[in-house]
Amino acid sequence: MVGIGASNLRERSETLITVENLTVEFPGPRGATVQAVSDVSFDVQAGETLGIVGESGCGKSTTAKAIIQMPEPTSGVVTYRDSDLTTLDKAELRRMRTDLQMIFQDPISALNPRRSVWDIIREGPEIWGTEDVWTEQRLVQLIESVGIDPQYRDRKPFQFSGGQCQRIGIARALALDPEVLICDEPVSALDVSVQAQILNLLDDLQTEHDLTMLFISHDLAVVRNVSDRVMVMYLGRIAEIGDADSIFDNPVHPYTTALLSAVPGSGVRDDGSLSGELPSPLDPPSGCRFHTRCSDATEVCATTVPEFTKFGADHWAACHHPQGTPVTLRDL
Amino acid sequence: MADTHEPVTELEAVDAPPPPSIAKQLGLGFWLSSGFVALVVVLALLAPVLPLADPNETAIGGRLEGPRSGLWFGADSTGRDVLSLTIWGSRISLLVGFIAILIGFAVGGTVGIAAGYFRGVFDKIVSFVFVTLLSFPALILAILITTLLGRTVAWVSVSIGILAIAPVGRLARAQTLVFAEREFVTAARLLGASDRRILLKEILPNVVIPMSALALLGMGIAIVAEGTLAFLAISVEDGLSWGRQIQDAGSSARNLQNGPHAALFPIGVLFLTVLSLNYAGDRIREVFDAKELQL
Amino acid sequence: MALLEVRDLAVTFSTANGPVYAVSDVSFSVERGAAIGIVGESGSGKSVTVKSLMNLLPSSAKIDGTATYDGLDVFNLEPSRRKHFYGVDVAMVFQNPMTSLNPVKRIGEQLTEGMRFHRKLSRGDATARAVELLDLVRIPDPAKRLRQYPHELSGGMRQRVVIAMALANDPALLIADEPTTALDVTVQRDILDLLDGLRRDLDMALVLITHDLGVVRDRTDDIVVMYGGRVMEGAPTEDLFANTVHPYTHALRSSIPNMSMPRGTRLSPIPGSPPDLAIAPTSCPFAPRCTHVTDACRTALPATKTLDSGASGHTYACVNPQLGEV
Repeated sequence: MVGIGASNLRERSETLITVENLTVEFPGPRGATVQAVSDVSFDVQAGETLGIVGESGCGKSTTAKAIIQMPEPTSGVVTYRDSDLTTLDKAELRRMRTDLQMIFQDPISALNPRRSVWDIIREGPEIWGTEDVWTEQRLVQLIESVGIDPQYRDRKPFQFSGGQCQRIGIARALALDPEVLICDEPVSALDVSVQAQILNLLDDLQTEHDLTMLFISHDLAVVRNVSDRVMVMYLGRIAEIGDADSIFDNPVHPYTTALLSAVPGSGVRDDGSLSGELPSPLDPPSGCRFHTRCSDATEVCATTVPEFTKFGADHWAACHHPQGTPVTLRDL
Repeated sequence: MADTHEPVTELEAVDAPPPPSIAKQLGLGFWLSSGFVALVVVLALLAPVLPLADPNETAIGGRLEGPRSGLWFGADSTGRDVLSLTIWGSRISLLVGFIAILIGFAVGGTVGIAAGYFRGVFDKIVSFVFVTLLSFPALILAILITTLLGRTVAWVSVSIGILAIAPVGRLARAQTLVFAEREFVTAARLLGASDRRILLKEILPNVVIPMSALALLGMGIAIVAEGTLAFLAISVEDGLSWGRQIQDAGSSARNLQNGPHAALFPIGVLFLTVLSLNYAGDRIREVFDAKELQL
Repeated sequence: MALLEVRDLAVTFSTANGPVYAVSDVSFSVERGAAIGIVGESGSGKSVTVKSLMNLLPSSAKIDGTATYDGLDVFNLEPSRRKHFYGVDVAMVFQNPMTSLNPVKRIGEQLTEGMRFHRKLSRGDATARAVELLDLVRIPDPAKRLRQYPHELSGGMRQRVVIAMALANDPALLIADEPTTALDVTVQRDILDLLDGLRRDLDMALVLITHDLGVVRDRTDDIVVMYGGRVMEGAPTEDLFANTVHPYTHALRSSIPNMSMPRGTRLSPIPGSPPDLAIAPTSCPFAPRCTHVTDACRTALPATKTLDSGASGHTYACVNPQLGEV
């Protein structure tokens, strides 16, 4: 396996999650197979925020959810703190998942309309019998820390705004003291004036609770704001991964460039914007999956899957014709 | 430009006044219809201690005598007290309606929710059984059960209850499917909730409201169904029920012409009871659906 | 004279829980062939404003004020003129293309329907025009697309089809309500560029409704910023960004992360929640969340003033305007 799983090449802190050759397939219409994620490898360092970006259907959300085995991957290994999550039995997985919590895109759908805020937030401690750790006083503090007035703890979700519901969802996830928080488009359903509140809140809570975050978003400006490292996905594969500044300032994969040029104010020039339609994940293109829309594509792109090449201390891309010079070991 | 560390609190933000109480939202109509149903139920329960004439005693009044003071609903063709007949008859009608719906919900509701939640092969089998049940001729099923097993309250209720299983089960399954997809179920699973806990705490409270509306509607339908069976003389043997009473009073065209009140009173009470049940069920559904829509 | 002139528009919904003041005192105008952006969050009244023009509001809505289109009183159209106004003069594109497309009808049928109804075109002529329209919105292989169903197209393609349908009768004014919100950034850019190009090529006025200031920045002549059902600030686009006056516009601009901010930049969120529209507007709706609030903001509605410096036509409704960087 190439590069990106090999965190030993980088001098960073402790690796918390390692994903190797992750593949997720779903049964599609008429016996076909949806290749949602194909042979994806990466790792997540403790305490960092890894942003995952790409167009809808690129598999960014599925990749993150496959880490917590929802859905269970078709093949591949997901290692979290020395245990392979794909081989755990149901009880072990249940226990392990409390470490890996998630917040959702639609804050309202994420809360049971029939339960009170208090019941929703207390659910985790109640399941695990940790009410003695999560005393009433501590839960009240938690509710306060996400910016909800505890005096409204008996209200139902519909009495709160979208932004407040997202805060409640965050508190629910934190009530199990997780290590990892998967944020699946956490602000895209919110009003612009509320997005910044939630982003700042997540930033504060990350420091306060020492969280490692996977931040999935289609909004590149938001990802740039929150991420230490970034992973750009296209049609179930990683196009480019590495240090956020390095990728946003010097993208080498034509897809990353195209994506960035679509954002107003990105400063990336649009050289041959994406042509054509996103191909179907039922029948993804051969070789480099991006070759059908890439203005730099040549014959080799259609036949051979590009390997990952290193373009910086922490910057990898899978492209036959990258817009940058690879780094060799001698450069290091 | 940006503050480095502004407080994230939003403590004063929840300032919307609490919505009007559920009781108020349900409206006067709901309480009137519930009140009527409650009255019918109480009268049915208290029938033995109420100062009523023996419903089986003939010649209490004259043949097809019209309503008058002391004989408020008049008398039927054998001179029995129609008021007493109606109140005593409500006992079997309500009981059969209640047990039938209980069976429908116990079996259909449980199986439907389980099918919608667990999906897979179990769901396929259950859905097939529901479709089969729905296409089975209802009347023939009822005749089979009552003639083979006996025309008792229990078997009449069972025969109607079986018919309730499929519609109830299909609604339960459909509702469960809707909520099982919602992210709060994913969240609960991530927190470590067991299937049992998810079904009880996350799914059931959401499914129970549309189901309770259906229960009220269904009870109305079951009472009418019992009436139909009684009319066909395959309901509870020798038992008094509204259906039986209507059949007795309405089977002869001449009796119907000379003393329509003997049939009209039980028909009216039956009609009002079923209407009230339907209306109450509808209001529950509307109020709680509207609350969903506010989300 | 402007093509569309809206004056003192107010829309009030009567609900079971009392009136909801969705839009109040809204005025703006659209010149022939010009593009304006109406920017606001949910509940700002931006969609209700255009829906009132398009006669798309439920009967519980009470509309006050005037809207004049090419000399016509939009709210009191003669029945004979209505059909022409809504089918030919003005067209609208919605956020979700599937609400405008019938899932069980082929694209071709849906495209030709309107033309055959409004222009009495023959089937052959209508089909030819449909191919022309799909070409106009840059859909490759239009003849093949006519035979397809909406579900066979991607989200971006569907929105292009919807735009083609809106263009069928050469409208002089196109209203696009969050046309790209549901789409990916790359597709969003293409659709916005398409709308911009079509406006220039067809000399059609465009009203672009969005929650995203970035979307309208490079593609409109004027911008109207709405909040709580009221216009906060309205100005020629360049001037709005160069000389932002209203604290809400400032807050909106600085609360959104942008690509030029270094990572980890602390954002300046707007505290609090959007306003409750059930309360009759008697003071500035932004006052409870405004960092520059004064006592006067809470007691009376701010009058609309014109900015003296900068380009002409820059108006704002604020008693404590903040000129320049805040």
